[in-house]
Amino acid sequence: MGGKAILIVVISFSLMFTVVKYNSSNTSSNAAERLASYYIKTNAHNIAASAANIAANELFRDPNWSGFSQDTLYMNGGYAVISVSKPANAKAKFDAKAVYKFFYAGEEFSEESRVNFVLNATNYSRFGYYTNVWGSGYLVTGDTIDGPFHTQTKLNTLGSPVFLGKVTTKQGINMVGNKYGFGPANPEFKGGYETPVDVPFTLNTSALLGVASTGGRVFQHPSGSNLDVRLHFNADETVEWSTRKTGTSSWSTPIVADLDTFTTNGVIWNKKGNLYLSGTVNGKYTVGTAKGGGSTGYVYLEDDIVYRKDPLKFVNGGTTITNPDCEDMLGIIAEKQVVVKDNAANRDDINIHAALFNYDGGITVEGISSSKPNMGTMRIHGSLIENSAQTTGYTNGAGYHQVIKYDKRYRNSTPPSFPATTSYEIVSWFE
Amino acid sequence: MGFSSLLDIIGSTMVGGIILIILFRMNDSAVENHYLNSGELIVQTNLISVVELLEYDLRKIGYCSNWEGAPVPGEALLSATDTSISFLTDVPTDTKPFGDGIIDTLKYWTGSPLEEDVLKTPNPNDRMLFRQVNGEPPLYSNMGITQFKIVYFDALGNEIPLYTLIANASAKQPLGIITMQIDITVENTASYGDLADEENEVYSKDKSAFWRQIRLAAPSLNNR
Repeated sequence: MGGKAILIVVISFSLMFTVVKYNSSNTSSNAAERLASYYIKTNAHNIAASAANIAANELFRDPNWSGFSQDTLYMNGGYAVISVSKPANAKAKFDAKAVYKFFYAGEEFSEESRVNFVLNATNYSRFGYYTNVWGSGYLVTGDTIDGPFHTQTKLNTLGSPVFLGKVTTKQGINMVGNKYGFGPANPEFKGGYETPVDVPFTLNTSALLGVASTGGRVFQHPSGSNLDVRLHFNADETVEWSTRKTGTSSWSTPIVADLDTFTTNGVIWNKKGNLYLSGTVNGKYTVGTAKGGGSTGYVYLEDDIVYRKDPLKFVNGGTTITNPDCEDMLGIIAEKQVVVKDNAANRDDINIHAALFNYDGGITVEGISSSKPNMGTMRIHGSLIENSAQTTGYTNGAGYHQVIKYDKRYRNSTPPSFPATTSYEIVSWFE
Repeated sequence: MGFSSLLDIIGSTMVGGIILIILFRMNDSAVENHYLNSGELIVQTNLISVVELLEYDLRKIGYCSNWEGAPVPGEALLSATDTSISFLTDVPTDTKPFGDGIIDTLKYWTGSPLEEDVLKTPNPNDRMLFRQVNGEPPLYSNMGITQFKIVYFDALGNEIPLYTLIANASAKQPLGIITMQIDITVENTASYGDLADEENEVYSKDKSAFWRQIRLAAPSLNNR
């Protein structure tokens, strides 16, 4: 009898242990499956991210690239399909959809992941400071560059200058330290650093002439000679303009025009000659001049050229934020360069609110030399694009002390028809 | 019923008793193993859930579905410490999985192991993980996190000292963070055994799971 009872007990416990063992095994395998599911999702995500990077790279190499002839990329046990669409507000929108396939218990399963990115043409105005040729000078400890920075040559730093925006160079960076008392080589890239990045410096004056001819305003001398144009912007959305043949001294009688009708698309272009600017801008405009040989292609600043309201708001510690009340925007394009006139109005500071494009030089001061008087501060609130840096002041105080602050609105918005390269940049990335 | 039958009964009772003792010990062992396995499952599940959530959100620092409304990349990170991070992003909604095009502020941080809610659990080291969108009340959950540490790196791959980050955040200067390393340790919030029994320490590291993301980069933090 006792033996039978024990047998029943043993059988009962065996059954119980079988159930417990089954549950215990399930629990263990569930823990492993949880990790496996993370691995599978990560793998699918990596395939999508890789495909998106491959597509972006193809576009950087060839802006006209529109996808693979067979738009399926196989990698790491899965595949990715890249699709392209072109919405109105961007040049191209890419969607990399990845499918990672795996087998479990003899069955095939798949996991999907997506990476989306948007590309837009690289517009020069979005740089806080673009210089085609950096030269042999250094940015040193105490220098702060506001906004994105790019150079097509090698950048030299000495000590620890600070870059608040992203820095890109085509030829790398030469970081020098412990020289002239500037401390160790430790430049601070607050917005990131990337090299090599190629953003060629080009200016298509024919395209600008075309835009100004169809809805904008074109100035040209009837005889085909070089023409000087003087524009004084008024805060009431009018412009006072006059002209003269380049090389002569007398200006035509100024005419006041309503900017709405003067240029409907906001572009004002001098076909060849020089441009003289001043005033208070109300609206969004791009003004510029092409060169016609000799001393032409210059934009001369005769006085402050500012928006109705400063685009920057200053907060604590010298930090600036975008002024939401400022809706005006100006692009100034000089096929030669922008020059601050040496006149009475400019000898006590000059304020410039604009994106300045100097194709054959950089912003400078008329007749600048170390024997010039101290002219105060040159404040540029906007962005500075130039072929190479020019002198605007000397350490003995002659000329200007220059302060350049980036207008962050230029990052996602541009003055009308402001020059852009034919290459793309990534403006949005979702993964 | 003779003497031999009596011996049979006594013998079988003894054998049965021994077998019962063995079975009881096996039962005890099975229950313990099952508990530990369940605990491991909870730890693994919690860890993966936390990691998936963090990776999903942190990869979108500076992202906005309407790119013209995206924040300045270098300024998308608002504040950062080794146990908290606050940044601008476009949080997806139920109807818009890519975001609604309006920038949100997202903040993660861990609480103290001495908070009332976590003191109720047997584990003395666990702490809450908080997630707050804009000014809404923070959502939190006790996932058994005992370590949540973020290390930040600049564009050249150098570690950024914490005091620099805090100083820059208070001055509203870009923090210069390009990549980050995230360390997370998750332990079981419950326990098996006696906490007072030092020889049977139940909160040792073999009952926890550790995960490290070596270099997490948010593409939108650095894309222009």
